[in-house]
Amino acid sequence: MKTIRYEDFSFRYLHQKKSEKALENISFELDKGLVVGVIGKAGAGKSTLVKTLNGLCPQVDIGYADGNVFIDGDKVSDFEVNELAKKVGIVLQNPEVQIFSLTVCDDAAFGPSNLGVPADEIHERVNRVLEKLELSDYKERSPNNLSGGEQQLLAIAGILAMEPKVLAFDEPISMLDPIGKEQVLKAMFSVAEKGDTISIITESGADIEAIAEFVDYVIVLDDGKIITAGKPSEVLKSPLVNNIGVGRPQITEIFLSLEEAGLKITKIPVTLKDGCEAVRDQLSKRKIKTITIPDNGKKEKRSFGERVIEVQNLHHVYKNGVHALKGVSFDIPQGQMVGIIGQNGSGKSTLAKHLVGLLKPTNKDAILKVGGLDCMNKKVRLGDIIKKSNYIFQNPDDQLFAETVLEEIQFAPRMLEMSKEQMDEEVRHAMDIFGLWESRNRYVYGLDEDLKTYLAIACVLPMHPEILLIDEPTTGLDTQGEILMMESLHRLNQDYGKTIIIITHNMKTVANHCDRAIVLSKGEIILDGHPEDVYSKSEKLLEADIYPPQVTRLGQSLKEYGFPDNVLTVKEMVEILKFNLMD
Amino acid sequence: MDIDILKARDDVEQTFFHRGLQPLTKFVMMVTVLVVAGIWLDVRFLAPLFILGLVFAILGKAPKAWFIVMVTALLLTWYPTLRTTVAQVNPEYYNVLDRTWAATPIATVNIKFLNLGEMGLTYGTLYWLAGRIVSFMTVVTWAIFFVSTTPMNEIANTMYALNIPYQIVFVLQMTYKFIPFMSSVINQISDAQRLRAWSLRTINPKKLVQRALPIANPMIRRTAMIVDQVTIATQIRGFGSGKPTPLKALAMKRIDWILVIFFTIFFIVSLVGTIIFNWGAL
Repeated sequence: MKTIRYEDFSFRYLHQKKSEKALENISFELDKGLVVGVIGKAGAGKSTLVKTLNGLCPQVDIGYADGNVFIDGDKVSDFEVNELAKKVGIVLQNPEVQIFSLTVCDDAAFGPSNLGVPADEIHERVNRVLEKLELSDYKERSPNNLSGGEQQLLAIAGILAMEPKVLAFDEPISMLDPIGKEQVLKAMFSVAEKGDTISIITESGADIEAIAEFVDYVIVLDDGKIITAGKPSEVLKSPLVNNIGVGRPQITEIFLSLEEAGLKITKIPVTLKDGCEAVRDQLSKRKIKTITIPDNGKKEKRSFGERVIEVQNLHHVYKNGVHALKGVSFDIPQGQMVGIIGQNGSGKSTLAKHLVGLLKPTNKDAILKVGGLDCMNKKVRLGDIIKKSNYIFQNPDDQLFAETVLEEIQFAPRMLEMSKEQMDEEVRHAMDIFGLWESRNRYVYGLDEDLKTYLAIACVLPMHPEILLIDEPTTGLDTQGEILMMESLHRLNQDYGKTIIIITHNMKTVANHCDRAIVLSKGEIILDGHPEDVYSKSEKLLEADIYPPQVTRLGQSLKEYGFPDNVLTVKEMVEILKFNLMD
Repeated sequence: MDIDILKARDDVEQTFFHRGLQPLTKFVMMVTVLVVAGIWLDVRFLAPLFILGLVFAILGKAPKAWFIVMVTALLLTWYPTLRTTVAQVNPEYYNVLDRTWAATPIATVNIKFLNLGEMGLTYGTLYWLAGRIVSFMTVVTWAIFFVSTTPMNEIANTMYALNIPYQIVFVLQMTYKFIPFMSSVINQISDAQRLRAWSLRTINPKKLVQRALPIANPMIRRTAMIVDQVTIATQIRGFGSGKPTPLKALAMKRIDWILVIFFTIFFIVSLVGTIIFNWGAL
């Protein structure tokens, strides 16, 4: 008997038309002991698929379902969701809403307690699970005081303590730093290793490398249909995955490019380990002990304007005693595109809030100048600073409130009491930059995630800030959406001379798009420079729980052959390999 | 992991009152004092209760800031307190104190309007005021002692062990957990709107309502989303599938029983004393 069986299953939400389907004719079977990746772009039906495993769809998220789903031989539609909690555990994207209790220990025990498991067994399960996930030291701690990665581990612990047969994770790592992602994935993998559980993880593309390292089987969804499924080594190299906007691991991209250029490759790798082996094979076949770096391997660095941000010795101590920034100093010139990276809780958001005037340094000897304004001067108000520097929060829903796109962008000009002519001109200009004019009468809440982010940025443009800080601009977007978003930011940077500062967990975004990376760890800047220089210092990066992108790590793993330790893009690596491996 | 955050929030000193007493014991102690302090008026009876509560709160390492809040609250209520105080002039109000002494005027005035009679300050009214202040401080100090030495999770576990319906306990826990979370959501939304030149400052009521929308709309939407996600998460974790297993039994130690019995006896004796012998009355 298979642990999971879908028989021609279709589902549409209550608000969808009959012709639309969230899932359509889904059929597959999965056996225990597998780690399964469900990949697809945003809106492909991944979360809906996960929610059908225990009947959340259609019982809680109401809709119409056809066909059958069986878990461990039981037909899902015959049971209530909470009855199936014994068999199916789901970990959601946001850990904050799935942690209910007030200590780590009590929260891990919440699920088994609800299932009526005897108290002694609950304690035994909780201890075992917390130990496995390395949370034993935090047993009596409040979950609110854990880092993002640890909270997600606690959410997993709570589900594991219920001992389900099926463990499903709905994009559990998108908001975590690279080490946090690895912690969560390792925990998943160790559960599957036991052999009596299936782990399922969904992914839109940004973390496809991390997923490829851990899964045994991949299901690719597009528009609610399964378009292909199989082993990662077969599926991830398929052009289908690229065509639907998910993207492939950088390692796979490199070898596909080499194959396309005419290099004979027996097996396209999908993981870093396999990629290193494949390069070593190719080099040893040609008896190459040291590679030659082509002259055109490096791109020219851009030049920038006057200094627009000056920060010296900035400290910030919150009222609860947390010393969030400890003597931070840096300058940013006009027109630079900067990526601020660091682990969860490293002080990135606190720093960003200083740069737009939402927070002030707590030490009087700090220097903080933004767009020529001395922010330490008490006469300088938030209203002055936001015309020089503005900040777009990670969740556009915190900002958007109006009915239509047009009304939303008109808000700031209205608050600034601009004349109607000026307002119309500013609004039109902001819309044109992001191609929002066609959508001007659309209902804001019905927009896709990428359009909402564009709209959130467009809303501040009528104030003409020369500096834009954007928090996680690519979170929640698939690979295609990410490319389009970064193209738009480049347009703002290059065509309109805006200084762009992005705060992100996506190391590829910084490598591919930024002129500079600033790495924060525990409130201090530990690295600052061009991404090439920053990513080459992999040991220092570990202090901030950061790994460089996969392509950089490939070069670093092959250092004995003379590979540079600062390769940033797939294109650069392909050129190096082509130069050395092709006649 | 940010070590600073953990230090600031989690390394609360654990005293005997945190670990050595059951929440039920502390609850019985607190409720006893709250009721008794609520019916007694005489500062001589109230002062020992206040001092005992203060000693317990200090030994329990209660945050000093909470006492500052208590004093601030006391100062902010000066007007209603004074208004009630000046109405306590009539010597017939005093059954225990010497009426002549109680009625000795310091500054009184006879108000004929609406036949309000004599009002102002006498020795009696001042004594009544002192009792009122100490009563307030006693109640708050014991509440501070209880809240600062009893983590919410222990209260919840005790409620489970006492067979209080698990739905009620869950709602209590969720409220406690989500109030700070929702407060941070409101701050975030407010920051996001301030960056768009939003300001609530206006005296025009129509504009005031309009200007509240940029906060209210995202707030309502976020709340609805959180409620939806929490509903899903509770279902996933089997909530409502049956009566949950209590995680900790109510393990009363000898000191707990001694204190519970002592405070129960104190409660009964105080009530009897108040009714029969006018204890704590003026």
